[in-house]
Amino acid sequence: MDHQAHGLDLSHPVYVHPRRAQFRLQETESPQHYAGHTSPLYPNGVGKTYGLAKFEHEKPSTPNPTLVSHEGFFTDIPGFENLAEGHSAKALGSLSLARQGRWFYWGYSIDPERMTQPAKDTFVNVLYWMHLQRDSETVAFVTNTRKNFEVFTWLGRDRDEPYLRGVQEHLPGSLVPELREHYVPSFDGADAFVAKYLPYLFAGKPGMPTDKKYGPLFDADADAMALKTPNNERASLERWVALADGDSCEDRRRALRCLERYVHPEITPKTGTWTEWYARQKARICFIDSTGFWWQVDPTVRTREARAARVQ
Amino acid sequence: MKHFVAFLWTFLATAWTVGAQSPFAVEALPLNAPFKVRATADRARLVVDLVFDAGWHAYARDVGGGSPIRIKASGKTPATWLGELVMPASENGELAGYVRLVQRLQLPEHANHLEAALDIMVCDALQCLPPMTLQIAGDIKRSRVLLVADVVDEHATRVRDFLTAEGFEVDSTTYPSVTAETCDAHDVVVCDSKLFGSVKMDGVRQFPKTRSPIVAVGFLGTELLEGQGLAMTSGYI
Repeated sequence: MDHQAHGLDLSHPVYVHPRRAQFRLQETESPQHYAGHTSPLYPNGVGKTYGLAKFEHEKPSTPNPTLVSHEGFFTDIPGFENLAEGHSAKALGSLSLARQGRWFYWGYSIDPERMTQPAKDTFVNVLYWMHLQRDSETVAFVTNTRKNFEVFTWLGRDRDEPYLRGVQEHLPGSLVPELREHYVPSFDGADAFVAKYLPYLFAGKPGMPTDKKYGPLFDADADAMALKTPNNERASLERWVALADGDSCEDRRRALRCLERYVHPEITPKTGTWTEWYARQKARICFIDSTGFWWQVDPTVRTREARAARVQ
Repeated sequence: MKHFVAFLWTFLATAWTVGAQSPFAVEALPLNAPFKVRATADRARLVVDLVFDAGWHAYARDVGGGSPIRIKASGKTPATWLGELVMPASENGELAGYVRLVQRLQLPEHANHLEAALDIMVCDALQCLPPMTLQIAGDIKRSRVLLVADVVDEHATRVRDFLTAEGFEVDSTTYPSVTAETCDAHDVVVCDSKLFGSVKMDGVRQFPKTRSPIVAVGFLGTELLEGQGLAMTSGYI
């Protein structure tokens, strides 16, 4: 990443108050390798040109690593703020300004000799914005998200010499051995794998295997697949709840295993029916991949509850 | 001399052990009011948190049933109110449960006190209580920032001077020296980084757990986020 950003929502408080950050956007032809892709700040793609904003006067003299969020690895975390993307040679979707709970990532230098005036103004605003976040709840990282597998289907595919390590090495290396057998290591194989398994992938559960290089290994949920219930959809959770409280049958057993697998132990029902549990938790919960593929308490709900407790 | 400066930075950081900013006084709230109030402010915003008892609500806008919530400057406050009062979205205009109100404001440089009046009318399904005006008042201190750097050098000094010039009260320390207590005692912690390849990483992965908001900067910022195990840095391919 260099010294520039794009995709800024200039109406967000970090660009507005107490300082008005007046970036002069330099309209620039968008890189060819951004074409056809989306990101949290470009849900419909970039277009032929985009506006670059300078956060530093000059390009850094050394590489400047940034957070990678291709296609939005963290968009399933309620309250996560994507506030700018870095000008990345790698791909669209590299975060340079982002917030999760009490943590803000600033991907540029804050040396006043390097910062532009609008960057200084933005940084001052960020400090005030973060002052408001003292009670904001963060969520912990357990595993990469399933979004990785989508990235493998396109990363380096259009090059004259396609980048093959992703589909030949990294994708199968991220799977449990049993699932690896169902994968053909090629771009077409990656397409087919994603089409069939992506809605049912999960990782990071207690007892699941972990690889030294790739971390928690992914499996495909046979129960969820049999029920045709993608594991992160609310309609699936509601189906499992209905089946769990229904008559005994194979689908009920599958649904109970899904509930055990995906409802976080912190909120799993201790008494009563699943229907009663869901009525109590419906407005409080969300599904997050990166915490370990759980239905869990929404961190923004937890934040409100913490703030309410301070008022009492 | 260099060691003395490092010691002085650490000393300055650990000497500040008072907590982050205190809540404002709220007066004229009846003891039996069916809601509770907590207000805080910095030089950019007044924040009012309300918690309504079950069954009670206030109004975000005029829906014909009761007066909507308003906050206005009062007393000798020199603040200028900016923009609309920000409150949670509400389809039917009712505010219930936990509610955060945020008023953007601007204070002259010399001002260090803020007074405001909160007009509120609360109702349940059967009745509305008479409108109330609550007086909110408190001193506004400069926001306290803890700057954490890899080493004490000219870069760190420039950043500290920049933040001080911007109106923040800045204490400084280094990654190997920082403690959770020092972080907790500040409104915001800035974890700085020089460019990749020119920073020392000592202490970054051991950064303490804190309740304070953190701004993680640059390369060490990514290291810090990973070290803290936050769902924000996965996805490197």
